[in-house]
Amino acid sequence: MTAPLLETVDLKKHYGGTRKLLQRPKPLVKAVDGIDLQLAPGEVLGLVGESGCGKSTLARTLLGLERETEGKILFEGKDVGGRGASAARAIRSDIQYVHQDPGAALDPWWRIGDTLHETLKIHGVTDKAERDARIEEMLLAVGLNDSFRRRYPHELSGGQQRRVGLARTLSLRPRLVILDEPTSGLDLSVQATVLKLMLELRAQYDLTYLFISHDLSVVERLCDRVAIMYLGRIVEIGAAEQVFSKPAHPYTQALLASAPTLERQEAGKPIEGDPPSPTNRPDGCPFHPRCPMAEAACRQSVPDLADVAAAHRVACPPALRTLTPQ
Amino acid sequence: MLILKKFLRDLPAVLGALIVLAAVILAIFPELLVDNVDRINRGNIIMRLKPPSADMPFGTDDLGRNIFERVIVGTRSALTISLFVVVVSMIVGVPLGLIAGYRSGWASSAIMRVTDVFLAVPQLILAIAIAQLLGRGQISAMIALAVTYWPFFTRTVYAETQKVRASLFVEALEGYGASKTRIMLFHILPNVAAPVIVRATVGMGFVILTAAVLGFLGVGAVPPAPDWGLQISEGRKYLPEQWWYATFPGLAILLLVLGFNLLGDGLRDLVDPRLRRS
Repeated sequence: MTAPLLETVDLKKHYGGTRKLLQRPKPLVKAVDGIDLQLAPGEVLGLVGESGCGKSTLARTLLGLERETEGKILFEGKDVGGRGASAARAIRSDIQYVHQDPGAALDPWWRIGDTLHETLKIHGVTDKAERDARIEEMLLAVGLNDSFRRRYPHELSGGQQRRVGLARTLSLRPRLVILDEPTSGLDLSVQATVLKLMLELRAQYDLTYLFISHDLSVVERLCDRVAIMYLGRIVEIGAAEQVFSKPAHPYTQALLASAPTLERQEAGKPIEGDPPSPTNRPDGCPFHPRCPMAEAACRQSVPDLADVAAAHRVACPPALRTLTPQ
Repeated sequence: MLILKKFLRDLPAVLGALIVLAAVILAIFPELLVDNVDRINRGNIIMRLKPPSADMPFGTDDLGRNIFERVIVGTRSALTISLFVVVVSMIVGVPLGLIAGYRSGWASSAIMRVTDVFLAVPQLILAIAIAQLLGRGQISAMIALAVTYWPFFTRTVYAETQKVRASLFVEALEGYGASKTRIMLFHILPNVAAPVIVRATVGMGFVILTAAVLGFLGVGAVPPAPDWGLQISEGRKYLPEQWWYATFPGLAILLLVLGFNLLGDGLRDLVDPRLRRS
């Protein structure tokens, strides 16, 4: 394996838990609780999980908008963690973010062109001619013509807004792009063109994607590897076809079984119960109260990721035992 | 252009705009209706307390001065006071509201607590107290009103800023590494401008009213200034027999305040169609 572009070591982001002067103590929320992740250059890693499992917090922490509580963030082997928001953004300008709803991410009072100019200006591109050239190139690359510069965000369709969002981020020449639910709220045909565009852009600009989604079919189509997240931890990670064809963790199995498919089949057994509140997480494996395979040991200690097969790791000892007989 | 068309269909708002426009024109060019602006303070005892006539449509006051001319010239001081107060209040109140709304921390809490203290005391009483301390005169009335009016802007801007701050485009800008100053000045300010303009318009009328009250109570303008509040206070002694003395300055206040309120309401409807009056 080549040297990873981005690596996190035991990354944690906790909120609250401290008591400020004259304020009620806030409960401790372990939004991201010990994540080890490696992103190889050029790959697309899908990050899947229920709402509130910490996907977005992880993205914000990687971007530097939130300061990590513990752990390391390495970009090309260099430690880029442990900084406040503005310093972290400055050093991690190779990592950029595309918003879930790029339409709402545009200031309604600004023309598209002005927004694109501003984004570049923030990143220190002072020469107006160069900005113009880059904007023209990026608009072309995402399949919009130059006339879009004069439009306001509300004059664009959902697909066009997403293209503008991509152009805005890519004009900064990032190496790693975090895509947050890039296809939510689009109809299927637009979704397909946007996904195709993303893959083309990746090839054209040598990008690495961290793809956050809960649309499993999109993840399966687009991603090289998939990481499944549950309550701030990665419970399974592996090559996409492996995870989708032979899911090892009971949570992944339930998640795949509950995904809607076109073929008529028996609906998979839904996961029972709600995800536990992150303020009051169960001891041991966070999934054990809802897990059909739970045993006494699961209540004792938090399981770590272990190899099931080559490049396929899972954090579930009982599943591991059945899959790899000793 | 679409906005202008929509505004022109709103009859009360157009009426308000016309009233305000007429007042502004008269404030700048009182010569249009007054023969000699310098002579309005000069009395003529023989003409004392004459009822309205074709020559003097509003009659004369206790010193024989033409009330019509004094009301027209009074427009200027009424508009000057309210414009000064509203502009100064905006200069002070809007940045404070922006900072308090966008940042969090002790500075923001401090600003809002001070604002709350000001808002908790009735504005008029506070203004009277301050004007009294500063001594009688139009300038001290203006200062007193400005000192008590800025918290209204801070409140409005604070609430709007909090709303805008939570929106995704601000978060996106932070994600792209935009500085706080840039976000506040170029992105939040334009987005909160509309409610501020509405508040300023309604505030103009409100300040005219309060300034008249100060004049009436004798803490504002000093005689012989043609101040509307002062004229009502002087004419009050001749009610009800010489009704025209106090009535016409009062009608002038009524008309101008009404004009600003109608205009402000119309602007608010333009800005926020959800608040359409039924």
